[in-house]
Amino acid sequence: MSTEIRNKFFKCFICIFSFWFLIFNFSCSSKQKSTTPKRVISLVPSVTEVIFALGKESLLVGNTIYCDYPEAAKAVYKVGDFSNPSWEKIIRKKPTLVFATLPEQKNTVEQLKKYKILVFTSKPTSVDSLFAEIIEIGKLLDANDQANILLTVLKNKLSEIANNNPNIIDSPKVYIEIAGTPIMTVGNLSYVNDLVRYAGAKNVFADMSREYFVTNSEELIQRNPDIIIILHPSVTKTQVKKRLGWSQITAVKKARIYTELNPDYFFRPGPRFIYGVEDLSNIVHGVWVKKKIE
Amino acid sequence: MQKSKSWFILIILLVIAIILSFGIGPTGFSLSDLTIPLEVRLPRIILGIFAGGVLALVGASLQGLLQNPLVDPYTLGIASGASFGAVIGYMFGRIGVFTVPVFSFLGALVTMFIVYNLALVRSRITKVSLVLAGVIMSFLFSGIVMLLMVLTRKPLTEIIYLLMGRLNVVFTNELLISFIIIFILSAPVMMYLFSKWRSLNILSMNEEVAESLGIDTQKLTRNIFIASSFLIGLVVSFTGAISFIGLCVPHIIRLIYGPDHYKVLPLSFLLGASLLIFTDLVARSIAPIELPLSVITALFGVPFFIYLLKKRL
Repeated sequence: MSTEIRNKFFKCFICIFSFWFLIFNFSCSSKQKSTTPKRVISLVPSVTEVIFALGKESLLVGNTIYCDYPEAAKAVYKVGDFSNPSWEKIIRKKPTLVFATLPEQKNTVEQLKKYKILVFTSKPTSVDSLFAEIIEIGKLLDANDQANILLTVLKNKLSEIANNNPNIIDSPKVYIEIAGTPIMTVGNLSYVNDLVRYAGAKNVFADMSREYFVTNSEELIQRNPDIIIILHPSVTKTQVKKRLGWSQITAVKKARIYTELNPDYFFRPGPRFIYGVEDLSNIVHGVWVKKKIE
Repeated sequence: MQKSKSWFILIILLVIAIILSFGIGPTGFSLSDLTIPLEVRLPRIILGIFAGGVLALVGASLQGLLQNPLVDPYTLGIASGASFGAVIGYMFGRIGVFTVPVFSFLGALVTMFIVYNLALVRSRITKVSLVLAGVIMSFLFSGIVMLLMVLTRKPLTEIIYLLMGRLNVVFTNELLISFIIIFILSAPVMMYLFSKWRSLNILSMNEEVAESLGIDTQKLTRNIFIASSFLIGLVVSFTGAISFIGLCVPHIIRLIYGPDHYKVLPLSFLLGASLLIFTDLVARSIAPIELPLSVITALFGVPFFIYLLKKRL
């Protein structure tokens, strides 16, 4: 009899103990790291690229119609476009982790939080913050090692490029045009500003504390860039040369106008930024040739 | 005496606007090197005269024709229709420099036709129905423009500038020449509008009187509509849709100089041109960041307009 009671008591104790153990474990793990999200949706093309670079594409159950790199990203289920992902399509895929960006996807992020779905907001403002983000994404996807390897590769490449910048005393001034009607460029709050710096050059609008903004011909003529980079398809090199008043700009005089760069290298803060820095650096050194396909 | 004085003041105003706009800019001004004022600022000034003048002139003609103080290229939806056409033109790519203006004109014309027919209730047009139809179409076309630009992945800023106006056009020689050709081509159309001052005067008394005096109102309406669409289409294809000028400039002129269209039409043109040049000067003096023109026309124009209105009442 007494053994039976003791047995019962013991069983009960085990049950309660294991219950609390589980609860405790679970709450700890959700605070820290180890629950691997099995179903990931990326609403940001650059994060999609990071996920692929970390070799974790098998976790990806959804992305946007703009996620077109690498080729395999196109085949992933599309939950909508970048600014208007469909809430229903997101929910349908039962994600455990969603990558989003602010401020463009504020509504979606709030809704996801309301439904207690883990959200990671990506918004790198510099190369350093991109590196920090890659590490964090690595943690979230259980790919710490891959993230570290990726970072080492990128950093090595960066320092290689930096070493190749042979004693440029006056780093050339670069003008980046991101839209043509009206002409728009980037300021020092833009991530692109940082890429220009890493390439051994200086953004001609680096004193402007803005992300991107509309400017005009005269302002640009006064600032007189040495290199002009056009990152939108609406003008050709000859058209840029023919713009009235622009013949006074050093870049036009020396025919240093470049329209063939891949805008994704600059607008997507992902691993491919390194190609952007590389291309820019080659342009700065005057050895740039258009690559066929990377 | 009074007549010549009013002309004189407005021409002086325009000249001051042109001189200031020609002389002021980030690179400064020196007589020894006029390259930048001539190549960069002058095209902008010409565009400003054209756009501001045309918007005000069309506004004045339409207000006179429809005897409705609320109509202008904006409230009638023509400006948005023209923006819609311009976007379609952009999507076809710049096949030639005239692609965008032509599409813009077609957009304006189609919108005007739709608005007119929507407003036609039992073969009569009421003031309210016309503005209502115009505003509805304006919303529709602004919406479609947004949609198209989002679908073609244009940055939002570009859309804002298209819908709110700018003189910040980067001219090339070809573009400047084509613009001047357009300016010259549109001169006869503007002259046509100016020449209709007598009919508009009679029409503003009474439509039946006008008919009995041998004015074919149907034909007049159609012609002024086509002329307006043509001019607005051209303006919008270069500058985007600029608000306030077309609505308020004719009112300001009428409040100061009276309702005679012989004065209202050309004086509106002059005041519209000078105001737009001043507006643009402000818009680009906050450089290196440019503001859309409609922002400034609204901020400065509306208080002034309210002042004039209160003073007269």
